[in-house]
Amino acid sequence: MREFPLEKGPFLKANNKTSKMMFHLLIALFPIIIFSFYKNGIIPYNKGVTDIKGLFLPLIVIIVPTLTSFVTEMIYAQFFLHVDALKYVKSSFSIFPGLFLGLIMPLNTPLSMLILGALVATLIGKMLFGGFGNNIFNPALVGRLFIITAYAITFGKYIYHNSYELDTITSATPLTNASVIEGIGSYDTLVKPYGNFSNFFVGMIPGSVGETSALLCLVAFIYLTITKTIKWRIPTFYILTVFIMSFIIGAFNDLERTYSLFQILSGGLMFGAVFMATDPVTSPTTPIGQVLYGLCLGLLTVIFRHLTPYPEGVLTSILTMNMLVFIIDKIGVKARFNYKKSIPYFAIIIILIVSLSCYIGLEYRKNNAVEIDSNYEIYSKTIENDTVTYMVGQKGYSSVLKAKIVIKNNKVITYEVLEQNDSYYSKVEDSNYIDQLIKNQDSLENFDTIAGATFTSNGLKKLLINTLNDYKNNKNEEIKGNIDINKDYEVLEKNNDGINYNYVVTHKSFSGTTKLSITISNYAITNITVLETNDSYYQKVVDNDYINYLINNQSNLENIDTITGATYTSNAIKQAVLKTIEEYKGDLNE
Amino acid sequence: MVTGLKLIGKKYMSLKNKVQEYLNPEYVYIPLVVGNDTNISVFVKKGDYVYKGSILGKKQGNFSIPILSSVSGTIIDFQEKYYLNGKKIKCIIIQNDFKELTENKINIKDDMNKFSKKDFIERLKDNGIIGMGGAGFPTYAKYDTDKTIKTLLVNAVECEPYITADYSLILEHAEQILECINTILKINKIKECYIAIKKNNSKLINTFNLYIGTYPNIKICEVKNIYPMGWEKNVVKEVLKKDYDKLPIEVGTIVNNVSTIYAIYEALKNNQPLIDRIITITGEGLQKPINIKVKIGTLVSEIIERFNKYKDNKDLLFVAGGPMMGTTIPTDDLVVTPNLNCVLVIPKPKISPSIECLRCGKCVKFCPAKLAPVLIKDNCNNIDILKTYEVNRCIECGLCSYICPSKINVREYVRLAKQNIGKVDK
Amino acid sequence: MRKVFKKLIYENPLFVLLLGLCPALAVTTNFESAYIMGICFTIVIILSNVVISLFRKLIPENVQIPTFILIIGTFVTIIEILLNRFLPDLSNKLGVYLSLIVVNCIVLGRALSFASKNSVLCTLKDSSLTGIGYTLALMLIGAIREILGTNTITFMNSLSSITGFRAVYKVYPDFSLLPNPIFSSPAGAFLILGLLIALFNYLKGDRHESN
Repeated sequence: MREFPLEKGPFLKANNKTSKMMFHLLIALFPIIIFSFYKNGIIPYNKGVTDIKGLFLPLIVIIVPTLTSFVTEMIYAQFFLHVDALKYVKSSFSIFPGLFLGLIMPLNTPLSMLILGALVATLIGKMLFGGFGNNIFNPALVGRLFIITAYAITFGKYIYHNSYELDTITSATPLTNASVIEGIGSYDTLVKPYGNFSNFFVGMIPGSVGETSALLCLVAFIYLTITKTIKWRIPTFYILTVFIMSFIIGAFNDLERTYSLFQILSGGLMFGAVFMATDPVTSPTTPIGQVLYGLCLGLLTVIFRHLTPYPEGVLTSILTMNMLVFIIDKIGVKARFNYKKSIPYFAIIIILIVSLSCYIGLEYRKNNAVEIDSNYEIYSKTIENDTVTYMVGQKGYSSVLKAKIVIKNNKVITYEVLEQNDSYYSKVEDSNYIDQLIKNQDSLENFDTIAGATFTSNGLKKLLINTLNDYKNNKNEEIKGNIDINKDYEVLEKNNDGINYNYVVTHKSFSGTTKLSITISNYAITNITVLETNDSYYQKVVDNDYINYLINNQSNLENIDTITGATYTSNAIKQAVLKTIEEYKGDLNE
Repeated sequence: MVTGLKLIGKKYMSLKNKVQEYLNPEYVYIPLVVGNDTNISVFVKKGDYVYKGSILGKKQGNFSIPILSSVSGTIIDFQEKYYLNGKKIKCIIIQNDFKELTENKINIKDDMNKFSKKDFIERLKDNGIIGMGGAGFPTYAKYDTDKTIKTLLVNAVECEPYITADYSLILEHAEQILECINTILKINKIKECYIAIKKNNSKLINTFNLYIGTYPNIKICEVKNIYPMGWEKNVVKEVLKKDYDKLPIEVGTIVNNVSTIYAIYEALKNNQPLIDRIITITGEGLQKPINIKVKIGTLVSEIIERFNKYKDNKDLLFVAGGPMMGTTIPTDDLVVTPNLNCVLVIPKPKISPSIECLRCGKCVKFCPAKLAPVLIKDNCNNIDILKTYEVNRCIECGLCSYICPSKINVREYVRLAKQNIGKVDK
Repeated sequence: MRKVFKKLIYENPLFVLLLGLCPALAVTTNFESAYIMGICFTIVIILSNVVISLFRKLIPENVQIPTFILIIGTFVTIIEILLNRFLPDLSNKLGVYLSLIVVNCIVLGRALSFASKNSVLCTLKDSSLTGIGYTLALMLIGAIREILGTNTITFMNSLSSITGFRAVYKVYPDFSLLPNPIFSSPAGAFLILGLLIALFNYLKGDRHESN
């Protein structure tokens, strides 16, 4: 008789271990880190845009939070949990909150914010819940949410300003860009500014450090599914739901393929779906629960992207669903024995998916049909035979650009800027932009703007586009403008006898308007008479014989000084004369 | 769709050597237990002489069945020996007189097919046939029903690693097994029979195919090589594509282990009770792993001493049953019973320390009973929540503990949960 | 003295008994509102509990709660009117939470469990300690939230109409991480409250409350 020890449980050993699974995860992340280093560090360095610090910045942004979370967990274990720190960290996988946090932050985040974010992610997101395996929320997302909510104001400078992209039209991420344009946009406004879809797929677009490359995320997904590391149902159904909903929304606006592909490939959706949503600790364990989780995530992301003012939906939707995992698991357990018990829940979610996407699609369609550009305004529109004369205004850089546009038989004849106050308008003038616009009036959407005067040139371009659109759609509606452009200046009467042109004009002056009569013959001012004025200091103008002074120096009118002590009054007269000269020139040309 | 996991077989170890026999032990220790039930009334006392096949005791309650002696001889004493569930059970010690005398019973040796159903059930009951696949359920009770039996499923899957007892039996007695199945079909008016064998056991399939041509009602069904394919529900699902709730008779099926079929053959043909079986004694801790035919009640320590011999390792484990579902026994004083099909002697495995649960969901994915072991583990002390998890469906197959990446012994938590629910139900 | 200390820390109404959380999150955006609120609260609890204790033998059991609310409401209204007259902008800052002292769980709870059963002197001691404990707790949260949230600490701002001088100090030079506006928002309030409750639990250790 021989004695033997007692043991419990199966006596065969399986090969898999948690550390192996985490190792697979690290291998899957490795290409993404390398790509981010290449795109954000090496390419700008080669272009000469950044210095050596900028070259290594992506790596620093990834490594600093990783180390911070590692050290934080060691300190916490040593002093608060009273266990051996090294042994604890081996089985606690402390680098992952920091690593993921580094990958989802924008590139130019200050180091102090990264460290604080990693601290919050590890302490509040993971350790306070009980350490590894007990946290409810994804710690990296908790850290990012904290940083963004707290520092969004100072952060605005840093958010998405990326040294890789320096001369695109908007240095915003595709989603921020999409939220600024009116309506649903089109291929040209959503995708063209960044190249084409292959740029989106490979990842050469602005965004956070690791989020951009859809191709590498796909490769990582395949690798992780083959090695059975992640819950593959979650990213599959998540991305499928977003694709289908965007497809329906796009279908209402004739944009099916573009919009759905755009929505999947932008905003860090692929990265979030493959790495953040499938975090094993915070996602459901039952198969049907995982499917439900993926569907709800997709639904919430689309809702947050379209129906709320924030452009990014992935972060908040994942955090919201993390709260609901325990309910989903209950449904999943019941459905294991009898899958029919989960059908009502699926029915509700699918109904919500279809109805909400139809609703959003219809909303966009309504907005597109009206096509209101809120920065564009038609002051007046007169129609004579085939010619339509527009007096229109468009917001430029710092002022409203007011112009007169005459369109005859679908062609723009005149485009004249009457009033503007943009600082860099000279650049526009120097490059004869307006003439180019008129020449390219058939293909204005893709026409470049002028570097250094982006908003001004963009405003002028948009002015012409909106006017052409209005001409196409509402040719026959007249708009009697009751807002006068140049309400500073108004021509009341004009008559001429071929040689002498006489104008009775009013101009805004110090207190009210001043009425003048100006006569011009052969490009020379012959007479200026002030008919009416309310200005108190007009006497000074008279005393200084300003009017004769103007007539005598009419070749150099712009540089004539005003009278001190009667600045506005004298300026009014001077401006009235200048504008009348322009009017005279215009009259002569007709 | 039956899901499971492919395990490493390790079956070659016990197949290297021929099947041995040890049918003349000096003492046999017949345990007073049937399956898990120790409520046995004893009819003999110390000093009585018994024949081979005499009734020693009877299980009380439902499905009563007699316990029979496997040798002829004198009853010496009552002693406690270990049973395959790890507990000590009172045994009747019989000193073998090596004469193999049987009592004068009416020896019906005529055509097996002439049995009526009633006589068939009577014969099975009197010869003490119980399920030899592990459960130890009285076999006659399965046939004693008014419902129509449409199919008979013979379970020759033997999915656990190391075990080759059924394998060796089939290799030797395939023809008789098929004959017996045919008889059972005729007596009970069952239309057809399927024999479930693993796809990769080509030798067995060929062995059956030699004789099966004459029995058009019997078909071989090849099943996937995964664990736990041998579980009743999985076999029924895979072969017949049907689900049932508690008993296979709900879908008109009876499932029998192939060793039980052979025991039925002996009972019908020769009126011989269940007094011996083939068991596998194997493992890396033995010098010579074998399959051996022994009498019921033999002490395993004697068998090992004579045939296998331990290796010189210090740390060995002695397991009754297979590596996944077996229990460790403190000494090698284990008695052979009809439902013991394997004894494992393996070196003590290195225990990796368990870490926090990762909630990866692998235990949920592979559980054959469609439970969620991770959730049961989290709530094993909370009775209200446990009631919704249907914990009693667990068959304790051990896959959840096997597959866990964090090396948590999940099955223990499920057992604890079952205990807690059992206490409340009382 | 040890008893006082024990009651303030180990039975602190806010951090240990977790009562009166609503004003603790709402009015503690700056230090001054916090301590003014605490002072008002202390006055109300002392006065009302003393009065309740005086009348404890006269009030029958089944009308206890309405009567107590009546008494407490009287004192709260007095304080409200006084504050409205002398310190109107503080009254605006405290807003509705001043009126909510009437149904603050601490006041009613101490009244029901202590004041209605014990003598006046004991009630005086108990209620003043409770009030002081609550005030100190509010001051702590208010100080932390204000320092971290908007880099100032206000000792006396709205009170200057009475006392005549202001004391608003900047605590540290601004840098990129602080001040962090999240602490002036309700989210930060919950965070700070949670961490402080954890701290007090740690200080409490494994003591078993005998009361």
